[in-house]
Amino acid sequence: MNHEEIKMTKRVDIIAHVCLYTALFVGAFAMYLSRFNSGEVYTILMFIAVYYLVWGFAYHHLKNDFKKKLFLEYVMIALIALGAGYIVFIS
Amino acid sequence: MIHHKIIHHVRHFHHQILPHIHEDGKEHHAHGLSLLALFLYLQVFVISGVGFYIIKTHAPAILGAVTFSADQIISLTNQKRAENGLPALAFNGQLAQAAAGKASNMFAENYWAHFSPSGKTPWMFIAGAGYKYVYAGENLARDFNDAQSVVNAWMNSPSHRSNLLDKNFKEIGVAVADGKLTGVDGILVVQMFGTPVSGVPAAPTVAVATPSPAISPKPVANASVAPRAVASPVVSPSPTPLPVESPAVPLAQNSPIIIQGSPAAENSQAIVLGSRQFSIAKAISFGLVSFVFGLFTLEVILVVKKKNLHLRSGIIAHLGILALVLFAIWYAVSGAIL
Repeated sequence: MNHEEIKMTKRVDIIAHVCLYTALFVGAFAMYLSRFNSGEVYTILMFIAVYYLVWGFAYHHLKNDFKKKLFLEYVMIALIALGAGYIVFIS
Repeated sequence: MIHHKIIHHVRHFHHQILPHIHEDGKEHHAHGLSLLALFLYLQVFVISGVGFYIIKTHAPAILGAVTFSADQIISLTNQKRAENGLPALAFNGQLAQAAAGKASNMFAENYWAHFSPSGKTPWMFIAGAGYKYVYAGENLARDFNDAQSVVNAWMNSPSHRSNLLDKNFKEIGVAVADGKLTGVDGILVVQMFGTPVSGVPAAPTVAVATPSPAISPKPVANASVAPRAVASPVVSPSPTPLPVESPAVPLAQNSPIIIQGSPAAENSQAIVLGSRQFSIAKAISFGLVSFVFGLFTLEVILVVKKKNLHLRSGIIAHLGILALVLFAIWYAVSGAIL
């Protein structure tokens, strides 16, 4: 990778993570506002989990390091997030 | 020999929680964050969810049973008012009947709102119970495990808090009922506030509205209290109920609901089964997600310190979503208010 490519990759990294963390902050704010309605909080969590998966898929495709194992790691963490949320907010 | 065994166990433990380089020179992530480990953590939530369901349907008392009464809600409400230098609200049986009527109607029409699908407003129940009011308000709560959590949740919500601490209100009535609402079994709490017509001193001028900024600026004609200042009631937690009311409609026409007096309305109560489920679920979720978050954080710290290790791809994203889950669990409350 030449210097320009490294610079470009770093820029993509920063923009991608800013997008993700902006969504996470918006989600956290929405969850805080809806904290007295557990169904709404779980719905927001589901949207965030789906966004996280789509983000992971797109980001690693752009970085050319997308692997099945890595995607499964994303899926497992999204499912852990949903499982933790389910027993607290729904069950 | 023992020394070697100890070293082996320490190294084994170290490999579980920290990224490391094996003898063959290959870099490995913490085994506690392998796909298999993540799958096992997920199973904890699956087993917990199934376990809670089985216990709740077969023996919910195992998860705790708490008696939850209207008196507790009234007493805690008055405690909060006293802490804020406000006079206590007096219990009113008609408001309690109105609250019981509202709770029955919510179960019957299966809705979770201040206004019923058929258009019944909170003040229809209040007036239907025979309570002549100048100010009225309503707070709702469902699926909480104890009275303290309900009042705390209301106090943490600005609009509900303003009802609890409204100096205009003089009386209170509360109903606690259990049943199935919008497909979920749980406890419903209806809290009605009011100021009776007799509780307001006569105004020097006739039919002057807007006694307080919290009240609708549109006066409601009320035949029974003609010369006094009258304002329409407000369901404060709901930001837009007032436009629904027609200011020109006399209150008597607006109150078609007749609520039969019920002895249970005086101090209604219900038993919450499975009352500890929420705190157990919260502890399991928070503990396990914190553990996974902690392992990822350790990995970042170690990689930053040791130059020969590499940061796993996607770890910043993983930390972000896990932090969000921890935030959501931390602020989770067991029920809902309206």
